[in-house]
Parts: sequence; C-alpha cells; structure tokens
Amino acid sequence: MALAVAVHNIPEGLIVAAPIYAATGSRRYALGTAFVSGLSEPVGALLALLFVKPFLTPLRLQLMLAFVGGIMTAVCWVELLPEGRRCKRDAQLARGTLLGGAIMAATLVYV
Amino acid sequence: MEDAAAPWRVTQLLGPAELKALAWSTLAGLATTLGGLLAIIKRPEAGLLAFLLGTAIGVMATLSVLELIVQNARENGVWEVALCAGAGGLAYVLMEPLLPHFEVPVRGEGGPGGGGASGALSAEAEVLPAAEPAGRVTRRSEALRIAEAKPPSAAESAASAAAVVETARKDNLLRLGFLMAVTMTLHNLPEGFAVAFASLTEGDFGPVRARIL
Repeated sequence: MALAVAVHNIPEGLIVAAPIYAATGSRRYALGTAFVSGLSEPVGALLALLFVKPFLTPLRLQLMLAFVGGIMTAVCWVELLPEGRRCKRDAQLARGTLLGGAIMAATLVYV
Repeated sequence: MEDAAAPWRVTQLLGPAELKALAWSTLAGLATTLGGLLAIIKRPEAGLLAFLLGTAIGVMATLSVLELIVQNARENGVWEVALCAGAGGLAYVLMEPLLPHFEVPVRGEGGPGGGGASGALSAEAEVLPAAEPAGRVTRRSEALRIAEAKPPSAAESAASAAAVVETARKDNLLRLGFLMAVTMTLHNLPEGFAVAFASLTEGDFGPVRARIL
C-alpha cells in the first residue's frame, strides 16, 4: 500500500513543483512546496491513528480498506486517467499502466 | 512535570505498530519530493508525464481492485465489502467536483487532435472554446482561461493563441502551483489514513495474496 501510494505521489510532486519552478525559476522553492505537500501524508496517518484507531475492529479495518479501495479506484478513473489522456501520449500512458500493474501484481505475489 | 509527561503520553499512544505506520506514510509522502526533484531536473515533458501517470494508474488500480476489494470480499463478505467500496468510490466522485481543478503546464505539445483522446473522456474538453486548437497548447487551467482577457476567436491562429497563453501563464503559474499544492495536500490526508491502516494489517496479507492469485 505504501508502495502504491508512493508511486502515485511521484507524479503528484511533479505536478506541484513544475508550475512553481516554471514561474519562479527557484528550484529550492519548487522542491520545498512539493516536500511540504508530501508531509501531509504522515499527518493524515497520525490523525487516523489517534482518532480512528480506538474504534477499529479487524472487520471494520477491512471494511475501511474496502472504502479506501473504492476511493482509489475512483481516483484512477476520474482523475489520473483523464489527466494521462490529456498528455496525448497514449502509448506512454499504456506502457506506464502495464509497468505499474506488473510491479504491483509482482509485489502481491512475492512480498 | 507537565512538559515531561506530554511526550511520554504520545509514546504510550503510539506503539511499534503505529510508529511503523507513521514511518510508511512518511516514506510515501517523501515520494512527492522525488516527483518535485524530477520536475526541477527535467521539466515535465508530455511523454514522461503520461508514463508516470500510467504507472500510478497501474499500481493503484491493481492494488485497490485485487487486494483491497476482491481479496477483501472473499474474506469478509461480498456484500459488505462491495457496499463499502461503492461508498468510497461514490464519496470521491461526489467530493471531486468540490476540489479545485488544475492541469499541468507540460512542455512539448501533443500531436494536434491526437487520436481519440480529444475530449473523448474529459467533460472539461467540451467546455473549452471550440476555437481552442485541440490539444495543441499546453494544458490550460481554469485560472489561466479566466485570466486570459479575450477568448481566442476562430480567426486567430494557433500561434497567437499560444502567445496569449504564454503571457498569461507566468502570472498564474505560481498561484497554480500553490493551489495544486493545497489540492494535493487534501488528497494526501486520506492517503495517509490508507497507508496507516494498511500497515497495521500488513502481517496478514502474505498468505492471502498467494491464495487469490
């Protein structure tokens, strides 16, 4: 899961940093902003652990993960796919998708 | 005494499993910096961006469908899991229009009207003025479009339209970047949730994975 989110965060960081770099020409500034937006990740995790975990049972955790799975599937379809198509490089998009699916399937089997 | 007690309480709340969850989510968050690094080393070119987005799609779709939904349904009941997954998807779809929208100004233009990509998927594409040289100009955000004083008339050439965007861009890129950062931050919070919860169950996944595949 962490791997999947990490991989998906790479283009996100790119999306954040690219316009700022293009506008300011400051690499440090662009990188810093991407870094800070990435830091919200552990903040979300901390909130989850502190406030939601006390109410968790194993079944509720699994159902929560199913909920997250629904969200992630929706993100793929609603957000990432259209954004990818807009790049007008469908072959590259398809190659990336295959690679990503292969990586993930491999980790599901072997890890 | 109070000061000394506070950190102690925090460590009581966060056992090894929780710290592991936090570590994982921090690592995942740091990947954002990696993307930022990529952006400043090499400006995002359409092909690379498409490839990265594709990788993200492949990874996320595989993970969520196989592991979070299918395997989960086999273990915990098809209906409950289907309901939760559906609720999650629906929640996102309903929430998504409320989030600010941007597109990345990528360098390097796509082929004019390249293939079926033109507007087949995105509703936004239909909203764009018809005069817009299809997919020619780098992606344009709502903000850029508004900032543009006059919409390109049909008579204007693609080049001049691009020039208008070019001048408008610099002023808006910074704002775009920060709005993007805010959006991503909002997106990342629930992701942090997900990583943390997944990490808590990590130990149970191994044998189940073998079974499903």
